[in-house]
Amino acid sequence: MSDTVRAYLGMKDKVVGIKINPAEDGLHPKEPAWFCQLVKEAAVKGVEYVIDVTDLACPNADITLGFRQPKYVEIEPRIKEEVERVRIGKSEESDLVLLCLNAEQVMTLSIFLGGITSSCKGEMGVCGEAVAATYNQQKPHFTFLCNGARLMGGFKKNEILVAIPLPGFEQLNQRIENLTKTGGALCGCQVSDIPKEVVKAFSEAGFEKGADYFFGKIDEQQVRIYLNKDDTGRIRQITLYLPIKGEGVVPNPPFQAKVRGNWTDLYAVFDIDALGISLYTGKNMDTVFKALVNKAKGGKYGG
Amino acid sequence: MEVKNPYTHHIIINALMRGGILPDEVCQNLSEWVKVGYNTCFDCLEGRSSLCHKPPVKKHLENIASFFGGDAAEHTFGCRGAQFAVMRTVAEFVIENEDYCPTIIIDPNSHYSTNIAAEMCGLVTIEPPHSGYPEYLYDPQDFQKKINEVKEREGKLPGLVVVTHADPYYGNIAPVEEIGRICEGYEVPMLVNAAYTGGLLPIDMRQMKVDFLTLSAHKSMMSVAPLGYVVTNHKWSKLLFATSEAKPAWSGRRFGKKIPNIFGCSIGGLPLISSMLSFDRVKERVKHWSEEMAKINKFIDDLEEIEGIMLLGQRPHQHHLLHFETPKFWEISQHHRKKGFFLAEEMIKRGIVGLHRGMAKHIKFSVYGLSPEEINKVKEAFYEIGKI
Repeated sequence: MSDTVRAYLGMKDKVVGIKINPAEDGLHPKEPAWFCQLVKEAAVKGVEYVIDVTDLACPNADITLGFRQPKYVEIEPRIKEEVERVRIGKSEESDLVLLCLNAEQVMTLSIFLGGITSSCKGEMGVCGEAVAATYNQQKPHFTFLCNGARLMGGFKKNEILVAIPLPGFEQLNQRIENLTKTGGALCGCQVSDIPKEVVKAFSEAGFEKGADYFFGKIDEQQVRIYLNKDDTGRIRQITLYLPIKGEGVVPNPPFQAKVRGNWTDLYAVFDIDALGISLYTGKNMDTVFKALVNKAKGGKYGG
Repeated sequence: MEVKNPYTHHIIINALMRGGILPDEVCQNLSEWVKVGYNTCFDCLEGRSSLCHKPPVKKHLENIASFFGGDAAEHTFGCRGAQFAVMRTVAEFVIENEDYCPTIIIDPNSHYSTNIAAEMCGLVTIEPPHSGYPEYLYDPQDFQKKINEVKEREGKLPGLVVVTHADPYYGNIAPVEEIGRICEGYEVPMLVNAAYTGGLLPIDMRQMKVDFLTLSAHKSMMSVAPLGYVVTNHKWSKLLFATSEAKPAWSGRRFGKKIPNIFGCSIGGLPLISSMLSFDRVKERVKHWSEEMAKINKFIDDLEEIEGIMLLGQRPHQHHLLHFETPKFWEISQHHRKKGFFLAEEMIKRGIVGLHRGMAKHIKFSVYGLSPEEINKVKEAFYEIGKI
């Protein structure tokens, strides 16, 4: 799962999972260290630690991570439940994951996540603004980090840390997999750029999207709708096609007939504005299309 | 890890594959070449596979050029490698020649590799429109309009016009000769991508008035993949096939036989040997293209007997790639437990492979080169599945 996200974003560092109060103990750091230092070590080397309060050398992380409660002043954000140990390492079975990114990667991620909102003060970056805030609120946060993270933790000046709750990370992974599997299309290449709102509007009017057009039936008649682009690529007109097997079909204006192999196409081109329909909301689509098909069928079917 | 081909006895209807299937006798002859990867290099004297006399690669490339109406040819890493070579040549050409700009015109049904090659070479692409559903044709005059648009906007001519001879979506044959005449009038170089046609139907690039022809041996010339060819005329061969001028500063080495545009010494090995072995058969089969098309158009008529199934693209059809809209199969997929995957899997059960899995609204395939019995089997399979 982590590899999919790393590859897509082009991440140098590994994804680091954080588990609060894991059931099992594990390897402790050889000597007390800053929390951000251990996170960075896990991101770079892939090591995994389980820490308790005796493993921490920094002045604030023991409070923000919930190992101790503040005595004299409130410190925010912090995990308010009682914490005995924290696992830093694998993303599987974690509570949240940490991603060490640059600004462009955060931008890409924020698109996938539908936005990331954070409040940064430059204090307790990794332990507070990333881990505690995300654990408490169960939504993604980013932090521009703090001086401690840069001086002691080894984070570089252009790095930003993003924390995502595990369920959100799993969804992110799924979205990226879906996109990269298909390139936006089952066969790998999209052949049209019809907006999804338009596809939805046609779907609600009973039309399914084909390659770059819509197909469906009105009163048992096969109907195709093509969105015509002008020279600049704007959709200004639509064409209604009624493919009819055979020849000898007499069209009813404004429909015209064109023979194509075993088929005769009854077709007419309309200005979208003149029809009074909205491609984006589907307004009037079903009634207008039905009226037009009935008009076309007013002609004589030979076939 | 077990690596097996489960489809050795199936009828193949994948449109990408039909034109590339090797004759049985070539498969047998290939056995003496398969043990060594660098099997064209035993008697190489000049350090580039295209210059080899034994096996006669040099002669083979002369034959390729001549067969397609060109003056010079090189083999490439697939047709995409051929297109890349042309695009890179054009990218350099427009830097040297102030009458041309790095904007190129590509037809709206181009294969993705055309656009990727342009992207790799930093060329800007523009497209004339197509007519849309259901034929997706385009007008040669729109190429003229686009050339004029570029000239007006940039004050220079486009560096290249690219036309896909048979497109990979609908199997439409492009009006290459008309577009060729327009390009010739403006002195704009033109590339025809004949990946889906070269080796299946007669092609003469002189008659088309084009400067570059790109081919896919594994798509349309009975060859093992990946192999392509780029064919050109004398005017462009000097630039396209220019040899390396690099001289690393410290060692002072030179690579004077290597052609940078085709990555120095292009792909040798089994693909090239297979193409050489098949070429006589390729030359012979293009003479029978009209017979194949009669068979294919009859098949189209038969398949359209299934309710709602309709061929998209040119009518009568002029290429073996068939794109049908299949609302009937889509309706079945809506209540089938395998959804859109049912169609390809039902075909495989009947010994026919090649439909894209998951697709039921539209299908693309080919019956090119199949015997009448095999074509009938394909047709009957569709009829049966239509009754599910």
